[in-house]
Amino acid sequence: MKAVVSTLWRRAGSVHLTVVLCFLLTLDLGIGYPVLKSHLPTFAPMGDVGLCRWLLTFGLYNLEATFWFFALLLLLGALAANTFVCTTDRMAKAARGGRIGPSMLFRLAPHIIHYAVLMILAGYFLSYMFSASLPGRALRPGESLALPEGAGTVAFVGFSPEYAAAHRLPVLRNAVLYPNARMVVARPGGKTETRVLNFNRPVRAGNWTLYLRDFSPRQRKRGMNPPFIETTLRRDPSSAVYLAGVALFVFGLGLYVFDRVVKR
Amino acid sequence: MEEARLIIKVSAALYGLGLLAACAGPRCTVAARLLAWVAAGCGFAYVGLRYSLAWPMTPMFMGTAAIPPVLAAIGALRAGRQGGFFLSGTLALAFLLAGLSVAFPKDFYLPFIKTLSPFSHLMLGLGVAGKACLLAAGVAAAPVLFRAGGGEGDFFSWVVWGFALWTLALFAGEMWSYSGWGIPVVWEDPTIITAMATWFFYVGLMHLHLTRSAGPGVRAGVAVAGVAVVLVLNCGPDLGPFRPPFGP
Repeated sequence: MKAVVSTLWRRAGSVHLTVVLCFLLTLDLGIGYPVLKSHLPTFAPMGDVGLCRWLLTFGLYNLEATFWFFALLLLLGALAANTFVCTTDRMAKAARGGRIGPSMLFRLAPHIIHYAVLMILAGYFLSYMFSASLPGRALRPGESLALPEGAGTVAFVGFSPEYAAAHRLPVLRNAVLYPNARMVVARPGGKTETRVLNFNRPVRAGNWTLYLRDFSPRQRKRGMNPPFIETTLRRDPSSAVYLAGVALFVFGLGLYVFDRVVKR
Repeated sequence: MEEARLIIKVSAALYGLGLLAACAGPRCTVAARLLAWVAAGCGFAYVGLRYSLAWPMTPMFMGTAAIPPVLAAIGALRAGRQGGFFLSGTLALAFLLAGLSVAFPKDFYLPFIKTLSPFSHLMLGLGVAGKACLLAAGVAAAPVLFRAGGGEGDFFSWVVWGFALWTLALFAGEMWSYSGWGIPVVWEDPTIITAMATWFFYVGLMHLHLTRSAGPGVRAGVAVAGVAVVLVLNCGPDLGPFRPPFGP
């Protein structure tokens, strides 16, 4: 029994398997590109409904568009298992065979990268499985939004827009670049804070984050468009896992490139 | 926009002239390098003009048109060390990509304000540099594949640089996606799929190098095949409909 487990462990951590899985992933994603391009509405809701519900609805009922995605999940699962076994084995050997110091850190760089990949994959998986998303929350000036679980309220006060007044493209002249939606976040204890919401600059309120999805007016002369913002509320505690994975990967990659290319 | 289109046409012609000079033999190498630098200068001017039209947003679909000047500069800079074939190869790829960008332009999309993020600019810049290094790796690997000289170190360093820059570009994209949408992958943009495909391809190549089970010829062959992967999967989506290069 021990021999069987040992053989399985060795084969699961084979670098040859890594190579095969990586090229299969390239092939699968290469096939997936044109399919995804022609079925974008099938995939777009994944971020809002979560992976599990998406797989059981959009995924299973549109197999002609999603077959490659199921293959992707299987291949990524296999790659994660292979990476874990391979790098754990090699790291144990590397740690046993050397003195603690800077040279060991450089030797461990590939393993740091591998563990970072595992963190990123786990973070993605947890994010798509367990994050909560409440899309399509539209607010007009003066309206407020109650945060779930009694976490407080967020009120939209109004815009303080910044315009592209002298943009070189005439069509973009006087277009709103930064809507600067002024939001008042009221916490359950009665404490209030004023924040500014923009694209790429979400507003945090407790465990929830408010993302700007759309707004109006988009031009200085608003015409008939009434002012509003459309937002998405998200709660994703696992984002910390993949962001930490990214930071760890960058650290390991820096060590590897320095050791492999710069030092030589 | 018309000035930018004229500049990229001039740069494409200069890459072609540089390629002819590089193929003419060692006596014309100095001329080829000079032409490569001038062409790269024109290419960077095109990039600057496109950027100035979109600024402070990121210009759309500019990746393919921005690679040739970086490739030509790499070729001219390293020709002395990596040989005449490296210069010819990088100029040939620069000529091909600039020609494709002229014949199939996709420069008519307006920039959109969600690209008002430093991560969007980083993703474009690092991605262009990464793809140029990966293409340079393919060129440097060709002599190893055909046993015409060169060693594995000549192309593997380019693979490492290209992979590192490409990874950082993907991370910049991920950070942009997180700050803009709150999710790690935005499925509305299918090019994320091709970016991931290319990343896995080079992870495979680096592990092939690590195992040493396949010979240097096989590893060089995979690096050369990487040129096709980058061209088809990453440069292809940046191309638009055909437009006669000398038409109105």
